[in-house]
Amino acid sequence: MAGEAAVLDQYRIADEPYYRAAGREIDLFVAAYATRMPVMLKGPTGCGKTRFIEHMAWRLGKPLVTVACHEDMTASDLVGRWLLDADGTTWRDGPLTVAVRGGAICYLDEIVEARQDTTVVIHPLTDDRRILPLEKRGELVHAHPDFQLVISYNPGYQSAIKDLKESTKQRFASIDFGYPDMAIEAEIVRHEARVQPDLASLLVAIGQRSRRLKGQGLDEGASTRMLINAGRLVGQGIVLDEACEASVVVPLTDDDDVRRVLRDAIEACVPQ
Amino acid sequence: MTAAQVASLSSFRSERRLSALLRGYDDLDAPFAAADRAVVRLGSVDDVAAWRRAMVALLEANLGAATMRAIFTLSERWSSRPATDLVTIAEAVHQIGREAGSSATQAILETFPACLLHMSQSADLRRIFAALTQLARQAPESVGVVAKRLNSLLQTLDASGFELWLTGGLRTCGANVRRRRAYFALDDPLASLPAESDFARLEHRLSMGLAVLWDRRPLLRAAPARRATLVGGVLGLPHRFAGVTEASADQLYWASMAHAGAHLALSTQQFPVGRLKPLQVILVSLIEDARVEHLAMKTMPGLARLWRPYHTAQALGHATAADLLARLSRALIDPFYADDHGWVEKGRSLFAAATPRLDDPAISREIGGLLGNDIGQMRLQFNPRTYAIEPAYRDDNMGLWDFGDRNGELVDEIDIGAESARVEQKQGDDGKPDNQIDPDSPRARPRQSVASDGILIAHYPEWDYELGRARPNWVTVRESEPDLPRASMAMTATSEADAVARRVTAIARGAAIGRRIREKHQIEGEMLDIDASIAAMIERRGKQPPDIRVFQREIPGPRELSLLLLLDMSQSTADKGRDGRSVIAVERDAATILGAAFDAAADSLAIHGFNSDTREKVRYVKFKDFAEPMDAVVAARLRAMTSAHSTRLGAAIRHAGTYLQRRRSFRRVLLVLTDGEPSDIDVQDPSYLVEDARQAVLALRLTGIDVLAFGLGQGSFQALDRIVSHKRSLRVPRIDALPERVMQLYAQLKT
Repeated sequence: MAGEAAVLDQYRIADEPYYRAAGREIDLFVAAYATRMPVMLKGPTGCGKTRFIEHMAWRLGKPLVTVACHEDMTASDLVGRWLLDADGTTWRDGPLTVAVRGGAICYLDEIVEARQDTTVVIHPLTDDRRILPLEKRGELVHAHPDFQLVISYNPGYQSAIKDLKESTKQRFASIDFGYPDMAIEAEIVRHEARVQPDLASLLVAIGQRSRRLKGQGLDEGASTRMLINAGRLVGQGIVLDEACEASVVVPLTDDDDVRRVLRDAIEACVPQ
Repeated sequence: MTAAQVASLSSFRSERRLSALLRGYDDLDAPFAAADRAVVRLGSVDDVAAWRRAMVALLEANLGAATMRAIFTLSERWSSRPATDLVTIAEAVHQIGREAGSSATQAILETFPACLLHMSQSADLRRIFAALTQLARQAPESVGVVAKRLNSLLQTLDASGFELWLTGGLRTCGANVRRRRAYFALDDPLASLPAESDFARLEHRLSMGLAVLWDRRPLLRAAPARRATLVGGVLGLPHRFAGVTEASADQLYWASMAHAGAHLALSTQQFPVGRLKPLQVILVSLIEDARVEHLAMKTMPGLARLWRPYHTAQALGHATAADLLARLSRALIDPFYADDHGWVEKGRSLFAAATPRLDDPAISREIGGLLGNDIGQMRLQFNPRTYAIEPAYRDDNMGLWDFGDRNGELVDEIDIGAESARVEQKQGDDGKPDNQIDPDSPRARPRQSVASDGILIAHYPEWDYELGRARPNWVTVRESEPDLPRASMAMTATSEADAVARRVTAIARGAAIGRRIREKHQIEGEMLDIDASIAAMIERRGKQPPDIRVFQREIPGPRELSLLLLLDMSQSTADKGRDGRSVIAVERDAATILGAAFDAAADSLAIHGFNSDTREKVRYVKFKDFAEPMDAVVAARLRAMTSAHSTRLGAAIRHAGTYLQRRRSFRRVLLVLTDGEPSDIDVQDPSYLVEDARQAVLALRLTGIDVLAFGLGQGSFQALDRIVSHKRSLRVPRIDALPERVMQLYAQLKT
């Protein structure tokens, strides 16, 4: 067990990750954690879901095991597999099992990317049973009392193709993340990119305008993360136009017309 | 002999030949002599010789006195342009005459002088005549038709546009004379002039701009006006701004959009016109323009750099009322502009004093009223009919005013933009706008393909469920050509369907490209499959024979797909749903959306349609074949799709199956779009055709073809469940649900 604790120690977050609450999400999460209720974080990309969960893990003093889901991920990648060494076979826990045994918060990022047959392994963990059956090993792991499961989910345009099973969705309490209000977002950009408040507000104004194109040329508008990147580039001495071009316009779209519109909108926002 | 001598000798010879030929005509001597003198005056010795040779050729071609007289007159009046152009024309007329006869050459020479304006360069003239010559060669019957419209065509098209339009027509219509005539007579919607107006080119960008800058999504329309116009939440923009190059047009449209957006967002109330005079109305509007622009520049300071360059008024010389208005506009937006005119200064200071109340539209009314009184006392000439709002990016401000019951008179007085547009439209050759066709003229009526029964293609059996066996050769399928679209059928694709199509296309493209499937547990592959490897090692150590399938490989993802979309064109599809759209319109949109998505994903799609009128006549129409691209031709055919008769589904499914069976795709799918149950007038038993269709589906499944059905509309579609099974029939109650359904289906089919 000492070994396990050591494994989990590397997942502990030592310093407070900056997080600026936009609503009541912190209270909500604390309440959900108190009953170990599984939580789903919904929201567009780059709006602070991952930062939020890091902040909460730090605040609750729990280790955080993050798994970025992808479409080739198998159940073995999550729960663990047999490996070979000189003495024969040894079992190696996957990240989910590590978290379940050690009482960490397990964060499955972008869960829809994983194949649906993979995601069902979390089902027994998300109801009253709180167990994880390791079929290959013939073991039934009972979750540590501190264990909590958190998933993130971006209900974007792809949801027609990839969506969570209804039976998965309904197990979670959801916190909806949008882009924060202008003032709060400007504060976040200012803090993260270490730029002047004026510049932060300008970047947020640009970001907000780009979000109006959602569904009308863009799948998503500029995320807070993009705006912070732009601010950081400006902080390194890049001209604002070029910084926006590199971190907002070009990453967002390849469509020439949409790029023109974004550039013209940026131009309209920039003072003399 | 020197070159000059050769030229003069050849000129001498053609002169003799000419006089011999001219003897054949009664009264051409004098016109010829006049023309000849003019050419001698104008051109070099070589030009004259070439011209005379051309005249000989024309006379020898025997194109008639009228043509000759026309060309002589043209030559006589030829001035200020190179004589070589005349030779070009004469040679081209000769060619055209040989192919299309003298009536064609006469028609060209009649309209040609008026068109010269549009051919400022000799190169343009050569291109236009080369195109006409090609037309004469390939479609001699259409030369006269084009000649009559030459002037109006050249008003919208430049030389290369004209070339494109002609060759496009020749290509699209091929050997079909009827269609060629329709195209060149502009009856065929495909012939709608390809020259994209600036508005059409920029429309998408501008609507995105309104969303980005102002979070407003008004309808955009091309309006026949000189300035933008904003009425009833619809933003009308001119097809093009006069005298603007393409590059600066982009900027001007953007500026105009930004200004109109400012009105949409910030001009919150309409001013009552009351007893205001036109000049006062214009002044109040001008102040309101300045007010919303100042507010806009507060949040988006960069707009100042966009708008200011258009304010070019100078404080110079004697000022007319229009000058003063332009100077005031500039003074209010450009702080560096100096103007010592008392009235302009007063306007400036009044506006500056009102700055703290900028949010209040009432200041426009106040300041505008005051300034209006002053300018009235200056007794300056002002004609609202000829006044155009300056600078050009500003809209006509009609939307700012509540005209109450004075609607008629004042609008008439102020509505300058529309007035001028009406004048412009009348410049068409026959006094009618190009795109409107007189309903009384014979060509206004669509050339319906003679509601022919089509060509007999096949007989199919029909399943009689009561007998429990098929009736052989029971149904006759006839294929017919798609109808030509009616001229009145404008583009009906709604912008909503347009946006949907764009979204779906993007998703389809994403679904098709770049995704790969990882296959595990393979005998060979590029990578070791870690789980299989470990299992194999465990077995080996346990002295068991290991499973050697320890590799994994990646194979290209989604598989190729052939989909045949079968559209129900029965009479009931003309019924309108709750949203006022007929089922057939929804089918059309669905076909367009799917077509775009399949094109983007490089899958093959065919679009066919059917209806039936007893078992003798199952009409089957192919709008798009698998090989055809989803282009304007297909779109036009779909637009012409009409509803008639009944739905004998089974026969249509069997026939569609024969097309799919020839495809060599991994997956072959027949997708039926329908609004209800199969039926026909010679069948009483409602189950009969349902069971027959079910049999047809089952038979197709045996050959590996999937059959799915979409039920469009609010029905319950129980018959569809029976025909294609519950899992394969999908309900689409509204068009806005369609893209989701289509993409779900697409994703299912591709993986």
